[in-house]
Formats: sequence, C-alpha cells, structure tokens
Amino acid sequence: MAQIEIAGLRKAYNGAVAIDGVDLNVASGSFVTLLGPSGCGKTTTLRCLAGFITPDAGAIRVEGRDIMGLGPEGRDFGVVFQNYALFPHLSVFDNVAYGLQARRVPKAEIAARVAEVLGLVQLGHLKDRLPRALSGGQQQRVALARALVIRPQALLLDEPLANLDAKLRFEMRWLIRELQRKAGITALYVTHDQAEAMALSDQVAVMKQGRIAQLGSPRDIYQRPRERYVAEFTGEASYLKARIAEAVGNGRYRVATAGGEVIANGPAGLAAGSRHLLLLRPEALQPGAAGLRATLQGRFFVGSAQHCEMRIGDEVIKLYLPPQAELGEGAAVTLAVDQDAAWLLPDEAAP
Amino acid sequence: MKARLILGLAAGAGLGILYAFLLAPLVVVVLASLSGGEVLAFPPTGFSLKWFAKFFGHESFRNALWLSLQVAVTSTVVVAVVATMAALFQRGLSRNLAGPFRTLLLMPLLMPEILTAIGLLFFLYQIGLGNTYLGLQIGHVVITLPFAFLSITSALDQVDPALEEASASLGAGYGRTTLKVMLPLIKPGIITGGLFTFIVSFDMFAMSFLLKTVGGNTLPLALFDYLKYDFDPTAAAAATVSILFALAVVALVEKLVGLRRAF
Amino acid sequence: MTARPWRLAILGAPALFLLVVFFVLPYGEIVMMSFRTPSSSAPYGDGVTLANYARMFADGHYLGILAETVAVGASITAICLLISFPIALHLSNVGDRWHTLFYACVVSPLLVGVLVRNFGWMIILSFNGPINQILLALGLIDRPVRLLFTVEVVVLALVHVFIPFMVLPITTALRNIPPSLYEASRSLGAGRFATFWRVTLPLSFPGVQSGVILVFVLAISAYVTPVLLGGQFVVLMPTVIVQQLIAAFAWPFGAVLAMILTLSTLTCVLVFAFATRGLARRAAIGRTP
Ligand SMILES: Nc1ncnc2c1ncn2[C@@H]1O[C@H](COP(=O)(O)OP(=O)(O)OP(=O)(O)O)[C@@H](O)[C@H]1O
Ligand SMILES: [Mg+2]
Repeated sequence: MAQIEIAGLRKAYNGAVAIDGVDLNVASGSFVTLLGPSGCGKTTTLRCLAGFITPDAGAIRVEGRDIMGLGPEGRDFGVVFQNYALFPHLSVFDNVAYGLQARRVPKAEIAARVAEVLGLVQLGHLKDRLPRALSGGQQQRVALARALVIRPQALLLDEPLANLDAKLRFEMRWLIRELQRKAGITALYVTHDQAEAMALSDQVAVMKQGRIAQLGSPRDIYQRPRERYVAEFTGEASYLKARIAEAVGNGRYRVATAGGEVIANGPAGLAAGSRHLLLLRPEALQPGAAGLRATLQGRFFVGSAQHCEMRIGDEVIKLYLPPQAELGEGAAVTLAVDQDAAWLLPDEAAP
Repeated sequence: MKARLILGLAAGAGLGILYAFLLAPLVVVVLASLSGGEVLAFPPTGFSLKWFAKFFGHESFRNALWLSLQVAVTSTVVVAVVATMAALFQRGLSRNLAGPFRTLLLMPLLMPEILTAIGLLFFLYQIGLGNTYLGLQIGHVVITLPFAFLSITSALDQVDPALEEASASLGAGYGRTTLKVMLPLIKPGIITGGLFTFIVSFDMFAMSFLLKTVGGNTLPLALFDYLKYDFDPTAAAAATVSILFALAVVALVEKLVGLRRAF
Repeated sequence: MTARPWRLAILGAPALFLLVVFFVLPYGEIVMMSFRTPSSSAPYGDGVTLANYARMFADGHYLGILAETVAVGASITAICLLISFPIALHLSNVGDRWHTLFYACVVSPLLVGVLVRNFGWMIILSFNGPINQILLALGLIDRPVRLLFTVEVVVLALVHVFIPFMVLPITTALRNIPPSLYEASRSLGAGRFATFWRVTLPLSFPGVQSGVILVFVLAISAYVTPVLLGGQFVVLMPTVIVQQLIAAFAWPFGAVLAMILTLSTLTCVLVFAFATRGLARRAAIGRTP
C-alpha cells in the first residue's frame, strides 16, 4: 500500500515522443485507471513506473521516495501483463511462488501464502498444472495471484482483460476490484475500454497524445469533462453550439441554442455572451413539456431502447427513447433537458 | 552504477574474445596468403600477391579448382531443380505423409558425412560406379540436397495458401499456378538454397576423399595433399580462394534475401 | 489447390529416387558389408560371417579407441556449449543495425570448409606462429614449443568448427522467449542473475538440446581435423575406419567399426534425449491464448 507520484514524465522512442509530461498522483489504496485510445502512451507510462523502460525526464516517487534509481526487481510492484506472461515451464504453484522465492521467504510460509492466494482466485485445485493447460480466464487469475502474493506496494495492470471474452471480462472485473479492495492495495490500471474504467476506478485519468487530459472520478469525467476529447472518449455524446445568456447561479447558466434556451452547468466564471459547446448525454434528454425544439430524423430499435437522432437547426443530437414510444419520422418533439447532465465545454472551433 | 559499467565492459571484452576466436583462423589464413616472405609465418612479412600467382601456376591446384567448380556448379543446378520439385511435392502431400518425406530428405544432413560416404563407397562399387566422376557427383548431390530443400521449404511455408486458391479461382491450372505464382514467390529460397549448395559442395571433404577418382582431386583434397608435404603460403592462397567464395556467397545471400531469413 | 496425383508423383520422384537409391541403400550396404568375409584379392569375399564383430569385441584396442572418441566428442560438445551460449545470448539481443554483422561472423565460418579453418589453426599454432611468438616475447618459454598434434588442439579446432551448429539453435530458442517473461520475473523481485537462471536458461533448453545432439554426432564422426591437427598422435574412430577402408582395404572390418560407431552415437543421443526429456517438454513454449 503506497502513494505514488508521477511528475513530468517524458519518453521518446528514437525521437518519436510517446509520453510528454505525464503528471499523476495515485492516493494510497485507491484504484486509478489510465484511459485513452490506442497509442496515447498508457503502456509507456506504466512501463516507466514498473522500471522496464527508463524515462527521458521526470520523477517517480513512492511514499515520497524517488525510485528512479531502482531496477524493476527493487520497486516492489506487482505487474499483470496483457498476455499474462506466465512462465511456461513452471507449474501454477511455482509461478505464484516465484516472487516469494526471489524474496527468500521461508518454504513453509511460501506454501501457506500461495495456497491462500490461489484460494482467493479459486484455483487451488489446479496448482500442479502447467500454464498451457489452463484456459485464458484461469491463466489470467494465476497472473493476478502471482502479482498479489508478494503483497506489493502497488498493482500495475496493463489491459489485463483484453484477451478475454465479454462474459469472462465482466466476471474478472469484479474479481479484480474485490481483491484490490480486500487487500487495500494501490492499483494503476490501463485500458481503452471506458465502461471498464468507470466500473473499476476511484479515479480515471484520460490520456491524450502522451499527456493526461483530465483526472477525476468516473462521475466527474463523464459529467463534467474539461474538453470535448474527454467527453467523446467517456461515452455517447452530442453537442450543440451555445451562447451564454446569463449566469443563474454558481456554475449554472442560461444558454441560448438553435433549439431554444436551456439551463446548463459549466465551470464557474464563464462570461455572458461567450460561445461554448453544450454537451448533452443521450440519457439527459426526454420528451417533455418545455425545452429544446427538435424534429426526429431517424431511429433504430436495439431492444432495450430506441436510439434516435434529432435535428435541431442544422445540428444533430442523439437520445434514447423507451422501446414502446411511437414517433413518426419528421415529428416535432420538445426535449426536456436534465440540468445536471448538460455541461458546457469550451468551443475549440470558436475564435 | 559503477559496478554495472564494469560488468558491461567485462561482458563486452569476453564477447570480443569469443568473436575473435571465431574469426581468427580465417583472418590468419587470408593475411598469410598475402605474405611477401618465403615461409608461412604470422604475422606475415611484407606484402605480395606472388603466392596467388604460384597457386594458379601450380598445375594440380589448377586442375583441382577446375574440378571443384565443375562439381559444385553441377550440384547446384541439379539440387536446385530436384529440391524445388521436392518442396512442391511436400506441400501437396497430406500432413501424415509430408512428415516422413521431410525426415527422409533431411537425413543426409543428420547422418555424419563420413558414414554416408562409406556407404556410398560400398554401394557404388557394387553397381559398377566405383571410382567414377559420376559417383563423386552423386555423393555431392546427396549431401547438399537437404540444404537447398530446407531453405526452399521455409520460403514455401511463407506463401499464403489463399494465393494458390486465388490463382485457381481465376482459372489457372496447377502448372500455371506453380510457374506464375509459386516459383516467383519462392525464388529467394531457391537462390539461397542454390548458393549454399554451391559452397557446401565446393568445400566438401570427407565425401570427396572417399569417392574421388584416381588422380582427380577437388580443391580441398589438393590442399590436404599439399599440406602433408609442404607448409608454405601457396596453401594459404588456396585456402583464401575458398574463403573468398564463401564471402561472396554470404554477401550475395545478404543482398538478395537477407542473412537472417536464410538460416 | 493440389495437383492430380500423377503430377505430384513426378515432382517427388527424383528426390525419392536419389535418396532411396543413393542414401538408404548405401546404409544398408554398410550393414551387409559388416557380415561379409574378408578377402585378400577383392575388397570382400562371398561368404557371410560374424567373425568381424567377434574380432572387434575381442580386441580391446578398438574398444579403447571408441571410448576415447566418445570422451573427446563429449568434451567438445561441453566446451562448445559453454562458448556458444554467451554468443547466442548476444546474438538474440543485438539491435537490428548490428545484427547482420554479428550474424555474418557466426555464419561465415560455417561456409568456409573445415579444412581451411583447420589450416588457420595450423598457422596460429605452428612453431613460428603467433602463439609461440607471444609466449616467447612474454618470456614464458625460451624456445618454440610443439603445440600441434595433441588432443587438446584437435578439441579446440573442432569446438571452433561446431560453434555455429550450437549457436544457431540456441539463438532461435532464445528469440522465442517472449520478453514479457523477463519483465515479469524482474518485477517479481528476481534480479538479472536469478532471471537468467530461472527463466532464460530453462526456456532455452530446447535449443540447447538440439545443439548438443547435433554437435555430439558431428564431433564423434569428424575425420579431417583429427588427421590434420592430431597427426599420428591422436587416433580416433573415424581415422581408424578410413584406414581400414583405404589403406588396409579391409572393407568388412571397416564396416563393422562404422556400425559400432553409429550404434554408440545413437545410444548416447538416445540416453541424453531420454534423460533430458522432462526439461525439454516443460520448456517447449506453449502458446498462450
Ligand atoms: N518500443 C517502442 N519503440 C518505438 N515506439 C514505440 C515503442 N513502444 C511504443 N511506441 C510508440 O509510443 C506511442 C505510445 O505507445 P504505448 O504503447 O504507450 O500506447 P498505448 O496507449 O499503450 O496503446 P495501446 O492501447 O494500443 O496499447 C505509440 O505511438 C507507439 O507507436
Ligand atoms: Mg498498451
């Protein structure tokens, strides 16, 4: 259990910058996820932390102590790899015992600790198998057990669920979260799956081209993203051009859009008359008595709901309607806006 | 940090020694052949090409070089054709036939050359081919066949079966598909295999030693005979000629296909 | 797509013919020859006999040579392994830019005939060769010493000849080890040395195994090097066999010696493969889904 601090981390591969000034604070015992599209530098950040690569600049501190001088073996992090990286020539038991043997833990204690952790991941009965005789999910659990058994300062996981099928991924999500909570261990998790990130994390760091664009609770980054990039990456989103009419409270504004005026949240201190983007999550909109005037442009049925596209002026927004709602194409609809789910973003295209 | 630096330097020095060990005999031979002195000594005294002149002027060396080239070129041509056909044959076989076929073809590589030579010596005598050029040539072909077969099959394994299917779906028969699609794709493998065949045949000793015709020395045999009585830079010149051939082959393979893919 | 069977048969026919007639039958011929009676006027007589085998086993001389040959082969293999492993380790790690150069260093000796490489050692170890000169200059000896024509020199030269055969399979095995295994090991607290010992070494074993078998078989049957660098002082099995065939013209007895050498080699290889089968099976890198 430890607090981790990453400051100004930079790494270029042969001149190509992979990460450029990553700052991140991981509180002791918390679960933090690095979320971002492919190639944004998540793995690079994690590997710098684990000590597999040396960053060009920046500092990494654990409990305030600089660990840059230490090799991977001195850092005491449990790493879970995407391809599991189980030792193919060692049995499940020996794989899990590996880190304890390296630490010269007495034999009897090794046996007890390995048995305990294998019990936690429900693999006690397979301890003599070789990894190649295990299913993907079982291998994943061995990898997790191997990283946990050493009681590391922190758990580092790089897309550990990427190779599993959807159902297993769901189960493993819970297992990881549960084990992490139980052990009270600090965890840094890498994924490009936003649902996974939200479900697991205390804090999510959304990465963009080698930097952290925003760090916040899942609710924060979903409902109060700082820029369009973050909003886009965290879920389905629509945008309307908006101009602030007036502030109606702290961080609350009346804004004018092509579909009429609505009340929306935003960062404090936006000037009246300034141009912004109004972020509308699909679930924030419902047909109602007052709100945005829109016409239904198209819809399709997905079982639990109907996904609709609504035209407002020359802009298009998305929303979900209940499956039984009967609306013809071209119908005029008034959309009530849930104030807490409408959020003002800087309009990057505006001058 | 400092300890790691010292460790790194020590490792580097150790590796340097190992690589030097690998190359030393070759370097020494080449340098000795350029000696200006009268005896085989190292480091050589002065510089001259006179030993090469002496080598080419030496009739038995000249004949031996000529015979070696003849045998090696014949082996190359025959083996390239036979091995290519065999590789295509293996591709067409079902899995449980392809394995044994492959093992059979690689056997000459796995069995010691001297034993194969002994068997051939007995056998060729039985069928009346003892002490003939043809017998020697057969011996070379048998030994070199697996080298070419290996590099051609590995090139063939890289070819996506979908390409054959595509060609067939466009109306090409087996012959056309093989000529127009497969052969161009495996050409690098055939070239590599051919070059190896040439050099292995050119350098072959044990087989030539047992199967040679009376008075018909190949270059390695001539060098061997020469070394029994003489120890002067002419021998080094003869050896250098061999090395130059090998270097030419390495360079050609690297240029045409890349060394790493070749092995 | 496949060819019609008769077309396919045409493709395979030349190779099959060549190998069956000029490889399989000749080995059969060795077996047959070993049971022939000797003859003074021809390479062999008409009768069939076991006397050649009896002669070989009755004479401790040949068994002694066989034992020495196996011992020399084993030491060559062991030294070869010790030298080749670091080279393979380096070769599997070296960056792309330098790769070709080092690869060429390992492969070129393979393409230069054994004879030429032996000749290089003859120059290096001769009376006025560099080794003697260095020893003289250092004052360790006061006149050149005879270095050639010893078992040690034969071993050295054969180690040199066979290094590529050991390096290449080990390099392949090392390259097949996923780098994430090293990272996993390090992050679990094992240092470089422990990682080498517990991950690199066991996982490279399939390469080590094939290298060892290949080199041992080749070393046991090496002919040129012992003759050139050992002279009359180093007498190993292949030399004796060739003497019987070419000098004494005693084909049946030569065939017996060849048979015995082959069978002993085969036995050694099988024993080794059997003894290490567990290691090899474990180390075969299974595909992780
Ligand atoms: N070993 C390397 N050599 C050169 N470039 C690299 C290397 N590793 C990563 N990169 C580059 O650095 C950038 C960041 O890579 P990184 O692996 O950190 O991305 P990632 O966020 O983990 O992506 P993914 O989700 O696809 O795993 C990418 O542009 C990648 O091409
Ligand atoms: Mg990644």
